[in-house]
Amino acid sequence: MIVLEKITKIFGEDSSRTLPVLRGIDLQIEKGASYVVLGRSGVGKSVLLKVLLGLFPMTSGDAFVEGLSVHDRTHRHTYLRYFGMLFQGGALFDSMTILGNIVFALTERGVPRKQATEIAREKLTAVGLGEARVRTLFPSELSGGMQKRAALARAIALDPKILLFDEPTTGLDPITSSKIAYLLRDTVQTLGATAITITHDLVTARVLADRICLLEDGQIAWQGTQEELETTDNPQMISLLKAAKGERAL
Amino acid sequence: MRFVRLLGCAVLRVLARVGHFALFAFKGLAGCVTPPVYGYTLLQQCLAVGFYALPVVGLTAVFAGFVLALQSCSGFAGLSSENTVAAVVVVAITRELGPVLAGLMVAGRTSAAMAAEIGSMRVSEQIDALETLSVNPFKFLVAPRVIASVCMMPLLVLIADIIGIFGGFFVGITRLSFSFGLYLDQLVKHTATFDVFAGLIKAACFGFSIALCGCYYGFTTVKGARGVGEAATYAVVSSSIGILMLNYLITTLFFGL
Repeated sequence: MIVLEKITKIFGEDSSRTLPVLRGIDLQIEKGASYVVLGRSGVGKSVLLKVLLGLFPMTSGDAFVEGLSVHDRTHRHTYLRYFGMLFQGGALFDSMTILGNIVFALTERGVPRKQATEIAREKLTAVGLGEARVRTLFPSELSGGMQKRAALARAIALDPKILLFDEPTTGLDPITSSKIAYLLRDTVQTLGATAITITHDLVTARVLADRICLLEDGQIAWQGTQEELETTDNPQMISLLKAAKGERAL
Repeated sequence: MRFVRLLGCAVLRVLARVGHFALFAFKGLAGCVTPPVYGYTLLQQCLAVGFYALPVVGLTAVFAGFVLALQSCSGFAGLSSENTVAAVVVVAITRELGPVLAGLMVAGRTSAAMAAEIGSMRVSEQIDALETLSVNPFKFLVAPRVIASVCMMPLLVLIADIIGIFGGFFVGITRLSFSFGLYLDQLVKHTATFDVFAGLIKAACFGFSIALCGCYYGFTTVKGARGVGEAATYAVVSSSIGILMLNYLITTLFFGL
């Protein structure tokens, strides 16, 4: 179970220009649930994930995974071991091949190299990059969709219990975007993992979500199931739904 | 009152920056002396800092040797030229010009490259990805660069010294018509082990400054592509200033009168 308790993040605390991004976020995510966080650009969706991972120190509040706090530095490796993260741009290491990226992720967590290579091949096949020729390519030689697949293979290399997807379909064409969304859904189901997806794309949200929440002005403005989404009277959510249909947003 | 407040803010900002840099240097050093060691990355960095910088450092040294021989001959006209020119070339190259010119060349080439590479890793979230994989970026990115720079700079400077002295020797023999044997005798006579050693110590310190500035500005990159460009510029400027400051300090320490 993931518990976020009154998480506040203010950037520029030590300067005269402070920028509050998250304002007391409270959220509980059940084991095995797939949660989608919607919201406009710049409302702090990606910051929320990075705070949960401890990549950004939070101003106040706490995050727990299976009772382990993000602030507990002594169990940092155990805490991070729960997660597999798919970054917005893939964040594959430029200096390594696709296979090398995944082998590196595994060997750094103590998997012997020979076994790591086998697992890496298996994961690449699972995301549709099983061809020997593709495995030896460098990230810069791949298309956007292939980079996302390779980054997903790295994220799931160690069969994490929690998968975090930061804007997984941004910048992709609608067909590739749909393929990636369904690949993510299948991967989450195969692993039986808990998933948190950050997106502003309602199509991706509908494919992935058990529950959806809307982040607005650093706070959770609305949350509910897909069925509740259709009947919501929340003005911000209605505005988002209208914009997704190509209508003029409120 | 407003002036005092602005001044206070500026001083605090500078102190915060210095503190941040010191903390970064400490973490970088800690990464150098604690396992794991990333052997392949270290080898790559040794090649980048040492081997690939050889042509530019060699060219700088040889031309510095040429000019030094010509200038000292014209400056000491009327004196016993073979003696004076050989002594000036050897002492200037081994004590100062070899380490400083090689340091500045490597700062321009390598420090900028380090800042740009790490900076683009920062803006493309690759450093965040390292952290989520439980990889300490100080050990993976900073330590190999610092170790490679500290180890390779003395080697580069040693080669630069030899090439620079040879440059002076070549001009002395071909342009200034000095006696081959006498000039060579004077070169050997004035080459002091202590001078060479002091130059190599300088080189190691310069290497540390170059790697640290490159990594620091790379790590603190913000604002996308523009930020990467700024990081490279700051890295070159600060490591060059660092080299000149360290040069003065080490010269005072070894040759302080």
